[in-house]
Amino acid sequence: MARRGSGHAKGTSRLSTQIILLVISFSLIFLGKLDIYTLRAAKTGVSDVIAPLYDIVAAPVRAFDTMASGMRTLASFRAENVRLRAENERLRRWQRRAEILESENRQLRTVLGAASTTALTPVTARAISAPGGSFAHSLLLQIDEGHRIRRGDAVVNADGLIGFIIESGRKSARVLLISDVNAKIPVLLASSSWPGLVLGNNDQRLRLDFLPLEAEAKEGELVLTSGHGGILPAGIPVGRVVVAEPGNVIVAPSVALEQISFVSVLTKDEGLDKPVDLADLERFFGPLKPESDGRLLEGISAAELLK
Amino acid sequence: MSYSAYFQKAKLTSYFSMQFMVAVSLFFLGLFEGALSLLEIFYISTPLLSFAVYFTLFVFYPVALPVLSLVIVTVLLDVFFSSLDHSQTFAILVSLLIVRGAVSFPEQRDFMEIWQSFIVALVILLGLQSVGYMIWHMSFINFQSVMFQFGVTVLLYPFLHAIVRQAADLLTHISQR
Repeated sequence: MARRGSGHAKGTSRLSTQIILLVISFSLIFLGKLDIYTLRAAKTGVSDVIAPLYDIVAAPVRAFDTMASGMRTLASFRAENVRLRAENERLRRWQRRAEILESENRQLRTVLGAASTTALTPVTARAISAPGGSFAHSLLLQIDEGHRIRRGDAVVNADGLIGFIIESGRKSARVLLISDVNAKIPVLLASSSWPGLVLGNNDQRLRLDFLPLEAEAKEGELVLTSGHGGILPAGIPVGRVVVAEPGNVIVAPSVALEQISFVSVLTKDEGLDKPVDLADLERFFGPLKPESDGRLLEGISAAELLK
Repeated sequence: MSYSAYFQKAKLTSYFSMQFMVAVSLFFLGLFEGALSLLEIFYISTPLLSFAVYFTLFVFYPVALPVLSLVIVTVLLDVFFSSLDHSQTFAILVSLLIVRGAVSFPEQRDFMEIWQSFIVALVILLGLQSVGYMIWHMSFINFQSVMFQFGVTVLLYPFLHAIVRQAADLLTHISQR
């Protein structure tokens, strides 16, 4: 009888433990959404501790991936070489065009007295994780201690926008990818300048919404960040329109999000209200070095012409 | 120090409790599962390897994996891998508790029955997460990636089940010597 009573008490205690743990795990869903500073700090602390362990565990997977992609490249070596030569030639033509346009742009900026508002310093970081789930698209960056990465900083690579920082710890930072359902990026259509909002939906394609009624997106049109809201800098490529139907505009990201390894975090300098230093502008927004064929407009000024 | 100390029989019992070691192993398995997303094929959704192991341990070896260990491990992995939606811990706990209640005397059951129970647990897990996601974000889930995750996990379950059972038998055999 006493044994039965003890067993019953044990069963009741186990059941109550399970109920308490169920309640705690359920409340975690809401606590995560509340964005309380202490919780955020705890989460970044956990990420800081686990990130090096994860990096070790992921090493064999990364090695396998490198080996597999190496074998794929070897198999298509010849075709790849021909493709790259053609692409190189095309890019050279684009480079010349870009240099001319940049030079023209700089001169027009000088004439108009237009100045960019934000000085950005790129910080290089390594991506150590990938989304791997249908319910959230974020990735973790491993960064050096003493960095100046903060929430809201844009994360880019050579191809365009990857996402923005949502958590920044001592040695790690979390990026919300543009493909996440919570990512809503203010953008402009590059050729028509119509503003809109690019929305992620946890897929490899993005949706372009909130376009004005008279706006007409074209297939292949480039989509750039508009800088509205002041979080992300303007002019970063987000993607290209791949489906342009009324009420259904789909954008393919410029960046191959499944192949991210190193990224640049565009950190804002201390004190955004400080006056813009023209030398900084020159450094970040100045044109590429002109070629020596002398065809560029670089350097020609009224004073020189008068001489 | 005498020479006899070198010839003493080694201690086969760990200082750490079995439950702690199981929890640590599951934590590393969870990290490995997350690392699989670095492969292009699993970029959008990785197979739920750790859930398959939780299920087998929860049903066959409940002493090795108490609910508290399960919650601690899943919360840590949930925080590390997804910073926004922490619904995974709750969904895992609910699905495992429901299915464990339904699977009595697992040792006497055919493997096909266990597999079916695992599929039910997986449907509950992904169903809860999908419904939570759709309510929370007012948006449809990408069913293609969820179905891919479901299919690959179901196909891999027999292998994981065999591995866990073999490992448990081996550990029992060693500890009884």
